[in-house]
Formats: sequence, C-alpha cells, structure tokens
Amino acid sequence: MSYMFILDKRKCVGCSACAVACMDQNDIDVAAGDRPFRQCFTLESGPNPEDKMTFMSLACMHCEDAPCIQSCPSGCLKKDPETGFTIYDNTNCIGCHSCAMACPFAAPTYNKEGKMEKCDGCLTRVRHGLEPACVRVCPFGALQLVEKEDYENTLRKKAAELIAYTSRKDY
Amino acid sequence: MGANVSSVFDKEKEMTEMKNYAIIGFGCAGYHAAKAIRKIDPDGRIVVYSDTADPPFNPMLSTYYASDVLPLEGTFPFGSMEEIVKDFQLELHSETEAVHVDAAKKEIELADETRERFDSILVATGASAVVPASLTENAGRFFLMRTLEDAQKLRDHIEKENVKSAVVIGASMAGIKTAEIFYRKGIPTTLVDGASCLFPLAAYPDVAMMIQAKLNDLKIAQIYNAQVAAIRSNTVELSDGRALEADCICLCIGVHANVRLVANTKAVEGTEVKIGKGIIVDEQMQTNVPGIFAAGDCCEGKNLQTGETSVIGLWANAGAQGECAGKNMAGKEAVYYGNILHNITHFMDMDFISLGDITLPGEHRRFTGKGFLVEVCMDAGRLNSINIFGQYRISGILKSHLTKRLLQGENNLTPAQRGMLLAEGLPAELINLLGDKES
Amino acid sequence: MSEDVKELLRAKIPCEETGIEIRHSVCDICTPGPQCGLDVYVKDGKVIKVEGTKGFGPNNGSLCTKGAANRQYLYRKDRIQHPMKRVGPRGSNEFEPITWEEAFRLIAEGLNSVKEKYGADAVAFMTGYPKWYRPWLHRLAFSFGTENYMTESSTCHTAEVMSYLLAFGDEMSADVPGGPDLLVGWSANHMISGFPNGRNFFNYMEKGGRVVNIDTRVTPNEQKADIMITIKSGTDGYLANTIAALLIQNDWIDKEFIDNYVHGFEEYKAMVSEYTVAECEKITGVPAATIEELARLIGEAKNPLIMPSNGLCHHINGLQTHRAVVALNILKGNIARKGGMNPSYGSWLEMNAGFVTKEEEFLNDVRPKGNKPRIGSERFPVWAELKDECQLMDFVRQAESADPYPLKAIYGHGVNTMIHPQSDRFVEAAKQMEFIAATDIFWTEFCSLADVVLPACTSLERSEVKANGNGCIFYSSPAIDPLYESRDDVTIIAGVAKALNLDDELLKSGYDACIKHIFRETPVDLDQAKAAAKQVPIERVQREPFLSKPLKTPSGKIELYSEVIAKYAASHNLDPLPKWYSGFGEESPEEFPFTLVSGGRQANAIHSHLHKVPWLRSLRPEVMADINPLDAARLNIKQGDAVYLISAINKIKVKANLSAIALQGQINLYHGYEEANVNLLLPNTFLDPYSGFPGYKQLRCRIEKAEVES
Repeated sequence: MSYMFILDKRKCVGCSACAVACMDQNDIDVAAGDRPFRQCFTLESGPNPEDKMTFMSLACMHCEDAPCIQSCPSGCLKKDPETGFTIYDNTNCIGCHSCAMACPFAAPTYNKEGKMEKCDGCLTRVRHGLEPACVRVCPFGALQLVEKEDYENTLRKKAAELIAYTSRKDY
Repeated sequence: MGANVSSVFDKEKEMTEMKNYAIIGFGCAGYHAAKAIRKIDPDGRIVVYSDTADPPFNPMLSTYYASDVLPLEGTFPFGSMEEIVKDFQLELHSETEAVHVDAAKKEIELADETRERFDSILVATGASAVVPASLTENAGRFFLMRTLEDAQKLRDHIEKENVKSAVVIGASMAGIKTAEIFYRKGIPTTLVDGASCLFPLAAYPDVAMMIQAKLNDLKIAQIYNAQVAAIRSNTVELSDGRALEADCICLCIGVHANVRLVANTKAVEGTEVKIGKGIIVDEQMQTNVPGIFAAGDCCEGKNLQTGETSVIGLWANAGAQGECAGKNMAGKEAVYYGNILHNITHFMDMDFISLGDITLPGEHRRFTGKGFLVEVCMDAGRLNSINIFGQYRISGILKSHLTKRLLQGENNLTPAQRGMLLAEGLPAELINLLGDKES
Repeated sequence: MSEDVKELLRAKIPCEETGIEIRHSVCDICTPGPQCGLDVYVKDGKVIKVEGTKGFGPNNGSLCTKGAANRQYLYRKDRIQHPMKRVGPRGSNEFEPITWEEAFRLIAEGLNSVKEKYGADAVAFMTGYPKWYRPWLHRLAFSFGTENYMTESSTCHTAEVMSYLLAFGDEMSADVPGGPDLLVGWSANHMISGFPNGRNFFNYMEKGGRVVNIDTRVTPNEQKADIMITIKSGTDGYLANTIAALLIQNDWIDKEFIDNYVHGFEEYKAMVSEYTVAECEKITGVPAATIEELARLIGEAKNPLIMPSNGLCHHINGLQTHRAVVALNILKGNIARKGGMNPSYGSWLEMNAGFVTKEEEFLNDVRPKGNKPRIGSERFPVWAELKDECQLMDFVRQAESADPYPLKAIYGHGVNTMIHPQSDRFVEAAKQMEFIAATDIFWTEFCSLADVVLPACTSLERSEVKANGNGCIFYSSPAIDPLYESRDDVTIIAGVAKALNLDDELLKSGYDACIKHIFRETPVDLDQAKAAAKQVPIERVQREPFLSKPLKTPSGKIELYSEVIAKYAASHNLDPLPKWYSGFGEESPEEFPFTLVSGGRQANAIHSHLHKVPWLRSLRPEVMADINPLDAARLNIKQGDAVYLISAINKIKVKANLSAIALQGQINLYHGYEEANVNLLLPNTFLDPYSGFPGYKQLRCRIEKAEVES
C-alpha cells in the first residue's frame, strides 16, 4: 500500500502546528539551529487586502522518482517498498549536501554531526497504525496521509486545490 | 499487412530468445544500468566486466576514506559485490579488462583475446585522473585522488609518515577536498593552480576571490597563475622558478574520460564511434553505433544549456544516464534529456554551489543574506547561471528551477518554492528576478 | 538492545518493548477556552511527546501550534525550581532558595503585617495565566477580608461579557454550528486564536454557508471568507451603526421581535439615523458599495449571525463598538434560536457545559462585609456593577495616589507586568509595595519584584476538573510528578490559607475537597470521573426558553438603550446608546500618522508565556512589526530593517516585516515581548471609560528607521 501526503490548501492556515509536532516527534533542537522536517509558509501575492495569501505546509514530497536517491554518493536514501516513503540510513552520510542540491523542495536538513536527516513520513508510526505526527496534529485536517490509489481515483478529481505531495507534477 | 505480421513475429522471437547484455565498467552508471535491465528483463544474461574486484566505488568518497571519515565499506554505496550479483543475477568478470569492442560484430575482446558477442553493450568505464606526461619523468612521489587505491595510498602515507606540510596541485573541487584532509589534521597546505582563481570552471571571479580570502583566513596558502613544471623529490617546481617543498604532494588537476576501449572501434559500415572529450551519445545514451551505449563519466551527454554534448562528470548524472541506457538496452524506450553543469562542494564548513554554465553572457546581480551570498547571471530576464555561497538549502530549488526552465520553458517558481526561498532569507527582489509568480 | 527496539524508541511508539506509556491530561496554555485533551507520552517519568486526545470534545486528536509545544513549555529552562526569598533590594533580582515552610511563613507575616497597618483592602490579590485556580484565589482574598481581587481579564474578555450583560442580562455566545443563513465574523481570528471555533467556520463553509469576515488585519479568517472586508482599526462601531441605519431604512428588521423583546429601539433608531454611507466610507475606509452590499446581505438573510470577538473591545471605544455589533443581531431577531445569539451559562470556570455547580456559592459563602470600594469601581462604575472583581487597569493610579485608600501589598499568581499600558509605571508602583508574593511557573519580571516567589507546576503535573462545551467534564490526573519543588497553584493557595490561619477550613483542605464541595449537587461521581481518565458526560439542566421570562437587565428586556449605563451617563459622561466615538487618543495625526494595532494573536504565542519556548519562537524569532509593503516602500524601509515605533510617550525598537496583514497606515505588532514590550508605548490613561479596557489596537504612532548598526 503506497501513501502520499496531501494538503488541502483551502483549509491550511499556515499555523505551523505541523512543524511543531514534527519538532516534538523528532526532538528537533532549534536552539542549536536545527530545523523541523516540515515547515509552514504564508505567501503574500501583493500589498493590498484583496491580494491572495497562500498558506501552506511543506516537507519531503516522497517523490516517486525521488532525485535525492540517485544524488547521494553514499547510497543513504531509498524508497520504502511498503509505504512508498523516501527513507534513509545516514550511517555513511558524508554531509556533502548533494541531496539538498537534488531536492526541488529543500527537504533535506543536516544534524549537528553534519549528517542528513529528513522527513521519513513517520514510517514506524505508520507501520504501527499511527498517523504521521504532522497529520495527527493538524487542527483543520488540511494535511492528510492518503492511500495513493484513493487519491488518484477520487480525491484528485474532487478538489482542484489539493496539492499532491508525492507526484511532483502536481506540486 | 505483411509488415505487421513480421513485426509481431519479431517481437515474439525477441521475447522467447534470452538477451545478452554486456556492461564494461562497474561504477555508478554500470550499476544503475544493470539494475534497470534486470527490472525490465528478468531472464536476460547480464555480463559485467570490471577491472577491479571491488563493488561499485564512488570516486567522490575517496577523500572521505583517505581522511578516515568513512570506513572502507562506506565507500561502496550499493553494498557488497556478492549482494549486487545476487540481487541482479549478474555474470561478473572481476579484475577483467576488456581491451576492445568490435562494433561490427558487437563483440567484446578481453585481454586474453577471448571474444564474446552481445545484443547490446554498455561502456561505462568512467574517468581517470589526469597526469601530464611531463610530470611523470623523473618525478618525486605524488598522490592522486580518484580511485580507492589512490585514497588508500594517501591514507597510509599520512598515517605512517610524519607529514608536516602539503602541496595540492589543482584548485578544483577535488583539490579543495584534498586540501581539507590536511587542514583537518592541522597540516599547513598550499594550493597551486594554473588558473587565475579558485574553481575556475564553476565560480565567478568575484565569488572565487571571496572564497580565496576565506581560505586565507583558514591559513590555506594559495598560488594562482602558477604552472607546475616538475615534481622532484619533495619539491614542486613552478615554471616561474619558485619551488615548494612539502612532505606530501597531491595532484588534482582534473580527470579525463576513459575512452581508450572504443577509440578504435569501427561499426560495420566503417564509421568510428564518435568521441570528443568523451564518448558521444544521444538522448537514449546510445553511441552513433546502434547497440553500443555509453553512460557516466566516460561519455558526453547533452548539456541542456548549450544544446551540445559535454562531459558532466557527476555521480547523480552517471546514475541517471546508466539507468536510461539500461532501459533502452532492455528494449524499454527511455530518454535522458540531459543536464546542466552543477556542482556543490562542502569544504571546511563552507558550501559553494554553482549552477549552469558560467561562461554564458548576462547581467550579474549579487545579493547577500545572513551568512550567505547569491550571485546570478541573468540574460533577458532568464537565469543563465548562479553561484551560491553559504546556503546549500536553496540549491535544489534553484537547480530544479533552472532545469525546468530549460526543459519545459517555464519560468515560474511554485508557491512552495517561493515560500521556502523566503523562509531561507532570500530577498523578495531576487526571488522575483529569478522566476515569475504562478498564475 | 535490538535495532527494532531502538527504532521503536526513536519513533516513540507506546508499547511494552519501549516502556512508553500514554497518560491523559489537558492543555492549559490558553485556558479557559478550548481546553484540549492531551495524550502525554511518558517514559521513565519524563514527557517525551504530546499529541491531542482522539474523541476529546474540543480538539478530537488535534492540537494547535501552542499546544503541540507542551513538552518544551513544560521543560522551559526558566522554570522556577524552588521557593525563593529576595535577599537584595526590591527589583535587584537577588534571591535565594528557601523551604516551603519558610515561604508560607514569610507570606503570612508580610500579608498580615500590611493588613494590621492598613486593613485587608490594602492587599491586592492579582492573577494572570493560567486561570484554573481563580475561584480559589478569589476565595483566598475574601477569606483574607478583601474584595480586591483582580485578573488579567480586565484587559481581555470581560468587556465582551459586559456588552452581553448590558444587552441581555446574561452572557451570550454565537451558535455557528446551529447554521445561520449568513455568518458575519467581526474581528474573528479563530483559525489562529482558537482552532475549535475555527473548525466551526470551516464546517459551516463546507455545508455551503456564506461567510463575511470583517477585520482590520488580514488574517486567515479574512482570506478564507467568501467576502472579506478590511476596515480601519476602531471604526467598526461606525460601520455597525450605519448598517443598522440601512436595515431600519429598508425595513430589513424583525419588527415583531423588537416590539416584544427590545427596550430602547426608538432612541436607538434616532441615534443610528444620523449615520450615512458616505460618512461611513470616509471614516471606516470600507467602500460605499461594500457597505450597502453588507447591509443587503444581512437584511435579506433570515437569521444572519453577526459574531463579534474580543478584539473589538481592545479600543477606548471598545464596549460601545461591541454593543453596536451585537445590536445588529437584535434588529434581526436572531436571539435565542438555532444559529443565533444564545445564552451561555457558565457551568464551571466560564465554560458552558449544560450543568450547574456551586461555583458562585463557593465565593459568596465567605464574602467579606464592610469593605472599601473595590479598585476601579469609582472610575469604572459600569464595570463595577457588572463584574465581581476589581478593574485591574485602575491599580496603578490608586497605588500611586492612595486615592481613595493606599495599596501596600500584592499577592499574585501568574502576574504579567507587560499587560499594563505604560508597564514601567506598574513596575514602579510594585516597587513601592511593602510586600509582594509571586507564584508562577516561569521567572518573570514580576517575580523579580517580589519578596517571596513560589514555583507553580503546569497542567501536566497536576489534577484538575475541566468542563467542556460538549456537556462533559474531564478530571485529569498528573501525567508526571511536579518538576523540582513545584506545586500546583491550589495547593499553594491552601498552604497560604493555613499559614495565614484563616477561618476557612474548606479552602485549607485542598483541591479535591473543594471541587467535591463545588460539584456536590452536580450529578456526577468525581472519584469515578477521575479514575475513568476520560471525558464523562453530565446530564444537562433543563432551562425555560430564554425569552419566556423577564431578562436580568433592569428593564427585563433586551436593552439597546442600557439602563445600567444610564445611571452613570451624567456623572461619567457615558451614553446609554451604542453611539460611536473616535478610539484615538489626542495625539496629532500629523506627528503620529500611523495606527499601531497590537494585541492580535499569532499562531505560535499567547501573550508573553510562549515567547521563550524555543520551538515556538523559532517560527518568528525576531520581534517584528508588520508594515504594509506600500508604506514601507514610501519610507524606504526594507524587510528586516531595525525600526523605532514611537508614540507620544515612548519608543521601542523592533524589526520591520513587510506584510499585507497590515493595512496601509497601520502597523501590527504582537505583544508580550520583554525585549520590545509594545505596551510601553501606551499611556496608562488610554482606557475605555465604559469598560476600563486599554486601547491596545488603536494607538497613534510613527515609525522610523533605526540607525544602521555596525
């Protein structure tokens, strides 16, 4: 069963609850300069009140053809066959930042040892029947984890404003 | 009607007959080709010729191994050879040198003169460190930084000899990473290059100057515009007469594609396999000789920006090219549209990123933020190249943006990308300059 | 340890192998309000993660930005660890740890000494956040012998309550889930400030409901609405009265309802008849066409719900503004029915959960007699008549002037100096006190002024009963032991009551005994509720229809003309009708061309107590004033530039954030930052004469680029 993260832009208010839940789940030490694996933005399109603001939440898109995987010189990244998440083992990470240059969404971060870390879709939680921390916390249900098949068959047709997070052509 | 019947017949024939694939050279491109072939063709025979007994090795990791950041097994990103052979069911000929490809017969000739015919052949022989003949005559000892063996030699040397000073010839990406090995060990190091500045192929002169100043602050001596005349004993002699003494001398002046294997390969019609600086391939990674493919550092693929072919010797590029070649070899049409020149170098806690061909013309604009600098070269509102110092996080967004513009003709940044660029401290003015707003 | 268990631990999976347990608690960061259920992941007595409790009334599994940071809030580095005693001069911040016994003894000595010299009324019992212990602190004041109990609600929500009490005699709330046929959010920012209410918006919209939102800041509520109206800060009352005039002119009102239930309609009608669309456009900045469209939308709707929010009251014309907005519901007769304004009877701690408790008696049983007038009651008589508390905003004046009597001690829990306009004056007044006791979770400026400081714990370290709007209570148990030597506020209050040797055995007996006393006639078994560790429903009390009997207003009707205000109209120059007047001070608009709007909510903070939580602070690390990009361009101010915000009395330095959240001519600045306290800019006389509330959202100011730092 392959999953994907989707964001219902109509319901996202850019509150960053997802980012904080990510910090709590992953013990992100922001005081030391670390960043959560998920971030929120409010994007303003102009100075006037009627100019649209876009609220969004962004993390690893778990791309089907994830460019980070091939970019890693140490082979740290791979797809999880069960969930479709892009996962990693950073034992041999040399901190070269090649994956950062390959990622169109600035998803990789680096810990104090200089080793890459990123959103793993809360793989272990998902395997244990729990939602990813960011999905669980979302106050308005804007951020969801859905089965890819459901998305392709129904959700995508229903809502033009849904951003698909796995298929990069939809970002 | 007749033609249709025959094509159906041909396909059936193809499906029933087991295919024979050869891969010469087993690095990143070779590995990905084997993986792609096996995914499409579960039964085909995949023969791999490798001149070493090691699993695919990443030359980029050599400095990390030499400086003990990575253990030996960490330099083999795809794991052990046994596992790879098992996973992809390869017929491996290790420590076996292929000396010649007979394009007309699609045969490979080995050093022991045995020959075998294949349905398709991939040349993925990589590249080797450049060592000018003038420097090898009566030379003192010097180290290269390309292969695992190179890394092992340097590592042993530093471990056993009491190295107190070093000279690194070549202010390239490999050169700076080699200099970093000495820097981390507190060994005074001099960087020497014939060009007028650091990273001459990737950095704008003013950005290079800024990085040079930072290297100066780190006590890394640098000599530019300096031709190396000879390496004698413990001394690097420059053509202007200066002599640099060092306990350890490293040569990192670049690599050349390994094309020797196909240099005299002729197809049945008598045409030669086209070679420039590397083996020239099309978007399917096929050479001008049908059935003969090339991928990775030994080949010249399409440079998206110039439309010409050129060697883009990068790990990810080799992987994508190998995968594309493998698919085509196994009969699944695939296209690799090419790449742009791009590089990220993380050295001495600094990041330098170069995207695009810096020799292309345009107006240069420079922007600074908290601890970083971005310089762009814009031509008629379109990004041609970019230098980033001190901000690796935005590099992927900008690379994707530049590539997308070249491939799809779109110049917009998505809201997510804009949001991330803003969050990373890029000025709105620069973001607006780089890309249009999404309509 | 196997790799699998390592991974389970890393992923914080609650199971036998990891020893991670989930304990149920409540988030108390923004209480009372949403009161969300927490699943606290505990390992070896330490909290390692929190998430929202599924199925829990207000939040159902989710949390807001603030609540998601409960772990770091709990483990904030500046938690007060031990009872402390001041050893240097007051304000020197020199303290040393003492025992709880000594702390209680010192507090008893300090308070009793002031009581002996000046009387019990010289002691101010003061509180900020959290709010769960308020009945106990209030009772402590009463048992000590004074009615001088005051809370931060003097600047937050009470004005809104007053507006409802004046009109209806009871507090009211807007029934969004009931499904009005038009929802006008007025100053509504619930998507950021309180997400359960924000959800109501989304649910309403998903069912096809039409939403208009009116605000002076461009918030997510504004952006998500069908029609977004932006309005100059503090002119909402003018818009409301103009809409009222249009409703009346076009006969878009419920005449029958007004005839039956409303007091003062004719006077009100005469008052609003002077409001014109042309003048309204000039004053509010809302285009005439939009004003007319809004009137038509409300006019043609059957039960439009016009929902005001707290923010409307944070002006010196705030109470009248809120009344003017509420009046629109009255004109449409959208009162006491589905999708309308409905009475909100506080069950417990202001939450309307459908049942009743003896909370009022808990106080009245020990109410002292023969006291001097409560602080603020002479200056703000409308307040004094409606609210059984002091108006905190008059504290500094009385402390400075001793008029009508001196104030000599403060006993405070969670006191925040920064909520005071001209906060430095409050600090000075506190320095003149003979004795101060401060209880808090974290070390604050107020702690540094105290003689004795006591460490309180958070909701995760204690038990408490929360009532929820879904008709349930939740009786929490501690998820972990209190950190350091901290204790819960009610235990501390009981300790103080004992040390003072008060004649109040119930108060001294602690939380569980008191709560049982308060809930003694409520049909619930508290022991069982506590053991259940989940929400427990309580049967709703059947009430007669709201309008079937006289209301608690002087006229017994819904009052557009307030008879309470009328009593003080002459003496205090007040208007019984919700007439609009300017909310600006007297500063010159030429010298101070910008309007500073503060007090708004940002997702990652509430008042001052989350700015030092690193996760939350990382979301907006700098203190930034939002300035409209067009204004910024005109003044050559760039993103991140250091700027001064200058009022008639002070200036503060912040960074500029170019954002359309601020309308042109207005600057938005969030509050509660020690390093740039916006309230230093407000004169402490800048108060609403009706409610006593400060004009947080409408201060004339100017902005200047600060010198370039090398």
